[in-house]
Amino acid sequence: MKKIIVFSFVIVVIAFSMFSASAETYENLLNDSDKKEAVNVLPDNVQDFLKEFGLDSFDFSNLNKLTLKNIFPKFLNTVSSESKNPMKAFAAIIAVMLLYSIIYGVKSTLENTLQPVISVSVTLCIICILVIPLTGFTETVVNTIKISSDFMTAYIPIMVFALGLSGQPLTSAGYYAVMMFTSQSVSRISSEIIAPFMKIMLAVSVSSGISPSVNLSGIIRFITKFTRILLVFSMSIFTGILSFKQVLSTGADNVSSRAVRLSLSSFVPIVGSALSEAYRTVQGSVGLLKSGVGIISVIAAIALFAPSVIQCVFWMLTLSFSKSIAEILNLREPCVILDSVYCVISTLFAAALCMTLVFIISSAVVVLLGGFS
Amino acid sequence: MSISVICLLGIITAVISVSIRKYNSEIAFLLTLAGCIIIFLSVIFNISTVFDTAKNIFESASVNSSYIKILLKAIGLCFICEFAVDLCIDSGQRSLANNISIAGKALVLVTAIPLYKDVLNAVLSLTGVSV
Repeated sequence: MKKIIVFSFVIVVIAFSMFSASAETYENLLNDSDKKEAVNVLPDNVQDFLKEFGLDSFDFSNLNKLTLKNIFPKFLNTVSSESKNPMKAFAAIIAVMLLYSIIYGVKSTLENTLQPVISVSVTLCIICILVIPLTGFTETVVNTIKISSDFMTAYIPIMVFALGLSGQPLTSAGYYAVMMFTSQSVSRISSEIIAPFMKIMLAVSVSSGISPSVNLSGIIRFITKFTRILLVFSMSIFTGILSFKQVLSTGADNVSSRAVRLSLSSFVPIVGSALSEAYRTVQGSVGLLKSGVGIISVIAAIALFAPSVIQCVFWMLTLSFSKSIAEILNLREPCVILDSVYCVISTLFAAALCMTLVFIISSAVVVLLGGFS
Repeated sequence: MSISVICLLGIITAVISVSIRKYNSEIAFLLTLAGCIIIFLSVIFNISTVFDTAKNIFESASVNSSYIKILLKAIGLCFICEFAVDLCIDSGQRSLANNISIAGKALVLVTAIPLYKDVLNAVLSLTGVSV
């Protein structure tokens, strides 16, 4: 009897030591080079942000440092820096439209034949103010999408390893297959479809603004609608496949996990239930590691896309306000060009938001569905 | 010059011009021309504050100031052409007025050529064609 009590005590102590050490032990198993590779793909500002909060090493214990008090000033800084270009363009467009409205106001005294020429000059001026910063911005958004896909490719092995450690081989395999396909597709789509498509759309909208006799706004609106439907459709397919795959593989992993726990409690005499609980504790703590890695990736994705999304929102606001003012001043030509460019920017916004959501949903599905019962 | 002075000047010039026209149409035309020039210059002097404001907005927004210069030049050309065309129509020179109008349009387009170039460069860079 004495021997049995001592043996049980030793087993319980071992189990508790596993509970305290498992998360750190398993975290150390995550290869440092993999983490560095994933972080190095990100732009400098995102790396600095992650470093500041100690998240660059995927150390989930540092997640507590992320408080509203710490995040809010950073968010405000990003908003103020990203709003500069749209605000400058807004001021310049308003100045041009005010000048045009003065000429438009004395239209009755101006000879009718000179009016179209001056309106073309005004439209050209607005195009020059808008297009030059927007060309660079389109390039930046497309690069961000490419970087996100590179980050996804580098981050997948880390998550797969964490899933494998937490005893979810099927979930891990399913996640690897779906995410590898997605990251490669995103990379291809962004470089071969989205980037040229957006640029051509912007070029078409600019060209349509030059001459009032060429009205391409209908085509631009149709392309915008079509692209949005395509993005929503692809997002639904992706989320559906990932969710179903994760539900099925998580179910299968849970069955095998339960089988192990049943074997432990049934076939190991006396301390079987203690060992089974210890096994569950280890799984729980490694699950915590997995959740931490998932959440850090979501934070990295948000930090990566936030500047582009914020600037997109500001551009959309600028274009909407400018269009409203043009409508108030009854200036038709600037309205057309502003409307067309708004369509392009809103499509770019939808694409950037879709990529962010792909990242967040994929990590969230794995973290939320990967629990053990 | 206030609007009341401008109106008064316009009416007086018109009355004198109509009175003189019966006896000497050349002098009447010159009188109308002088009145128009005085009114035009006074308006230009007043309107320059609007142009200065627009220029300041452009400078504070750090947008290329050549755009506003081109625009102001085009607006100036339009006003001068309009002034000349009206005078020609008044003196019964319709074909001359049309020619001035065409010349004005051509000059506005020539002035806007740098804008066309910038737009073309932007469109070509968007479509990936090197200039």
